[in-house]
Amino acid sequence: MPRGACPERHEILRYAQNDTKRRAGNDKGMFFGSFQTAFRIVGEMPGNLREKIRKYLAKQAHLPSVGPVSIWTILFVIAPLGFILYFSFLTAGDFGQILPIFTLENYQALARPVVAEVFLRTLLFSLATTMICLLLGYPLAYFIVMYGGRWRIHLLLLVILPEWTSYLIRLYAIRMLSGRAGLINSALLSLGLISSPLGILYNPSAVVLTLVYGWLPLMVLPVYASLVGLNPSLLEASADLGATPFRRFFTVTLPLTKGGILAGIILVFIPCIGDWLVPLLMGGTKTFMAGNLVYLHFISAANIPAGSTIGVALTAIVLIIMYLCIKAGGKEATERII
Amino acid sequence: MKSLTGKTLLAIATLTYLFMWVPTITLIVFSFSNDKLGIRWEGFTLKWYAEIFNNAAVRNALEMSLIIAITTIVVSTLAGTVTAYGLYKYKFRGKEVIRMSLLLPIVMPYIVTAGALLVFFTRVVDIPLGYPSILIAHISFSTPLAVFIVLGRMQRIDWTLEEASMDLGAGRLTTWRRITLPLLMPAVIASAVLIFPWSFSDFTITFFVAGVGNTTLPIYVYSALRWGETAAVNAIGAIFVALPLIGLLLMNFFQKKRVI
Amino acid sequence: MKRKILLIPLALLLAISLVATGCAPAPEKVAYEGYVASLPEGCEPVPPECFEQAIEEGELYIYEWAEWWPDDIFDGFSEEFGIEVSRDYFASTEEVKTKFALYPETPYDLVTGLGISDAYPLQEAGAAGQINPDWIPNVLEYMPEELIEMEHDPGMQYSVPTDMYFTSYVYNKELVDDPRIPSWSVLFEPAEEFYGKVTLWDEIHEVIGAALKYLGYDYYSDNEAELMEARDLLLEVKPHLLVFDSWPRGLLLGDEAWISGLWYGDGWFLNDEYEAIVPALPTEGTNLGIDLAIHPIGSANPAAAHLFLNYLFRPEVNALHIESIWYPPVHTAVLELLPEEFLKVIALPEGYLAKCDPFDPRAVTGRGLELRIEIFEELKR
Repeated sequence: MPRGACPERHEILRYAQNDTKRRAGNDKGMFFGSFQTAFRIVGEMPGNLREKIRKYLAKQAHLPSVGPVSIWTILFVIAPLGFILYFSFLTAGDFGQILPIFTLENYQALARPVVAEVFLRTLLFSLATTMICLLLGYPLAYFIVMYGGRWRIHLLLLVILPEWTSYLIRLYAIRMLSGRAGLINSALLSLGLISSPLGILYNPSAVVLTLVYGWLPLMVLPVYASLVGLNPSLLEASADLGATPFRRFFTVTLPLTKGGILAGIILVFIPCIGDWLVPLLMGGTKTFMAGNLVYLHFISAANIPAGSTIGVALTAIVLIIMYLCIKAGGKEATERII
Repeated sequence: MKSLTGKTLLAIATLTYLFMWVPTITLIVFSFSNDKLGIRWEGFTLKWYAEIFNNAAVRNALEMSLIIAITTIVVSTLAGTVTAYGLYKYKFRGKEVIRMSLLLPIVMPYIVTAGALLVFFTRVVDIPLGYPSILIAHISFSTPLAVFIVLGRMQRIDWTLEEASMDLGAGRLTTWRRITLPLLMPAVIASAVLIFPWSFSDFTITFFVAGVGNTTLPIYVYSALRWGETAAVNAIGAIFVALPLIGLLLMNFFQKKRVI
Repeated sequence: MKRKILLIPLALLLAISLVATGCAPAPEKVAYEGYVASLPEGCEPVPPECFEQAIEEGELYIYEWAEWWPDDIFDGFSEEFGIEVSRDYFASTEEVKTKFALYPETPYDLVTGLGISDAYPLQEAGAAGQINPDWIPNVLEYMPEELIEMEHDPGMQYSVPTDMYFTSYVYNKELVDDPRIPSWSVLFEPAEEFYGKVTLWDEIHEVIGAALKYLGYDYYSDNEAELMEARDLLLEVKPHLLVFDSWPRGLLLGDEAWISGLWYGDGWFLNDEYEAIVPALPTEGTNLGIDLAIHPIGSANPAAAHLFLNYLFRPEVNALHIESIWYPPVHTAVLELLPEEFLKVIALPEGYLAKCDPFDPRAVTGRGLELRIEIFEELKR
């Protein structure tokens, strides 16, 4: 390239030469020196260029605060997910290896009836759990808001506190309570209500009820928040207009708390879909859920590609459901999730 | 509460509270029972507590869980507060993308995240399974919680105070320290209080990415649980129930004192 | 004041953790001569360089089944050599297999209690480190010749047998009265009155292997027709099962499960705790399982690991081990040290071993493995 064909190159060279001269007298080491150089080059740039850079930097003012966590999220949340997706297209070896041979077989295998059955059951159990949570949680939240008075916060704390205890420990507590020799059976026996111990555990309803026990607080909280946020004058207005309490509830209160309800549904439904501990510890032979299927392929069979494929499918379902709920519930549902 | 509706509500609420509390209360009561399986009352004893505190494995597991939880709290609340500040204060492209990707760790099925992290740490990047992997996993999970809680608070506080402080000549850093941070403190504490039980009790993810010498308390409980009921696990469970309660009572106590 | 609110729970937690940590005094170093002199009669000492290195390493990381081997063994070892032993627990050997398959360099010094069908894939995945034959004189002293020269690992290069296991089942003798005992049919074709009282393992190889054996086939078969027959049998019994659980201790003790697929040794272990529970040694035969200890390649304390293996094969230590797990021993000189009641564990019917299938890699590789996973998935769904 002939000399002068690229004026920028010429300018940059001139800055650099000037800089080398100055540095000779004031050497602060490689690292610090190069920083100074960078600043100086910026400083000596023509005005409009400097202005552009300053504007650019001003636009990026959020970077020091938002940058680190974003990078962290990309590295440790998005990248692992990306690799799971990548591995789902590879082939498994006999001893847990992941062979770099591209295949679509894992996805074709998703069409097997076992997967459909297990996923359907998972959705069914999760749906049942969410509905029961709503049927118990809404009245509870309503009760706290309406009749809680000065005990409101305490009553709410009583709902939250169990959530702070280890999930595993709470599952353990249920198992201890509901076994054949557990408290429930011995109480019923001594009251004479039953003549022989009931088999409470190891069936689908045990799984659903334990899931309800595990996630009920997550339904109460957002519903409570949206009930508290209701404008009481709206209720009064409808009462003044002669609406019966019953009618008032269904035409005013319920629609106004839709956001909270949908947030609660998301918060309960999503962890249920991914659960594997409850079916493992409380379930019988007909309670195998999607999380268990992931575990079976991932851990028991050490087949990473097959496990990843089911994991990807499960994640896709969760994201779709969340998208639908957020779309239906609007901004309020999104905010209440947190 | 005279109306029929009120009575029905009271009945549902009472039953629901019972449903939520009977299991843990029974657990605590039976942790003092002299029954080997810990499932019925056979007279008062403290021996299960003595047993777990004399058990080096349980002590190590408790210590491990506490170290992990405390580190996670410190890092996550700091990172979460700073990030929330950035998300609230600045307008920039890709903000919604960041918010949505912060939701990811919260909504992903635990078992999928756990498997993804295990494969990622062992097959993709060379991060040793152990404290590093566990802490990375816990921080990835807890930081979004802190971000959203602090962000929620930011939407409600009076930002003119910050401007006033700057107008009065205080520097950006001083303003942060003297004005902004105290305003945000309740939310920071709230996120710490929320993150602690999460990190302290997490099983699935920790179980997958744990390495040599990383038997945390939940992992210990899991292996004991697979084994069938034992009274000693009741005592460990009672600790799990009691710890957040103690924290809450203490907080309550000091908040009251401050009012006086 | 506000700042204190946060500090106090934290301070409390820190205080708890400090109390919990405590402080262990550093044990004194042990001299080689003292070790040789104090060895029980008949035991072979390790060479000096192994001993010195082990003392130098000063720690040993073990990965084992929760609540299985007695603490006394590890405490005794720790006390004698001043080597700190750290133990992690797994709840299923499949978990171990997968972690090592993904990361063969996982730095445990010993993994114990691996059934042969889990140890073999681990060895094939390159996770098992070489065992130095010069460093295990005491193991070789008491190990039967047949176990040193096993087909899957000739010369005991990658794994050391620690005990034997039979896949079998237990029944509650007060509740179950079935003339077919001890045939596998009690488990796989339960009488109607026992519906809902039967449990099977939550392990691929045990469930399918036992079913194959009941049908008269090889426990480790990879024949598709035979495996399909086993699948049909299992699917037929599934509606009558209570649950899949590899260790239904709580269920058996609480009279919730009456007939359970269980390893023979664990059957005697439970019998010791609740004498109504009796193990059955199936008439059709079973497998001849060997539990192995693996010395992973990632081990940072190889000498301590070898020293521990030698320690484990001291007759009185091995007696402690066998006595508490109730599994048949591999040690050649431990029988006379075991209590009289232990005879029932090792007293097998005449010629029974001929009905037990030794390990065959076909079950854990290729088509054999693929079919097993398919069947297991079908069964669990």
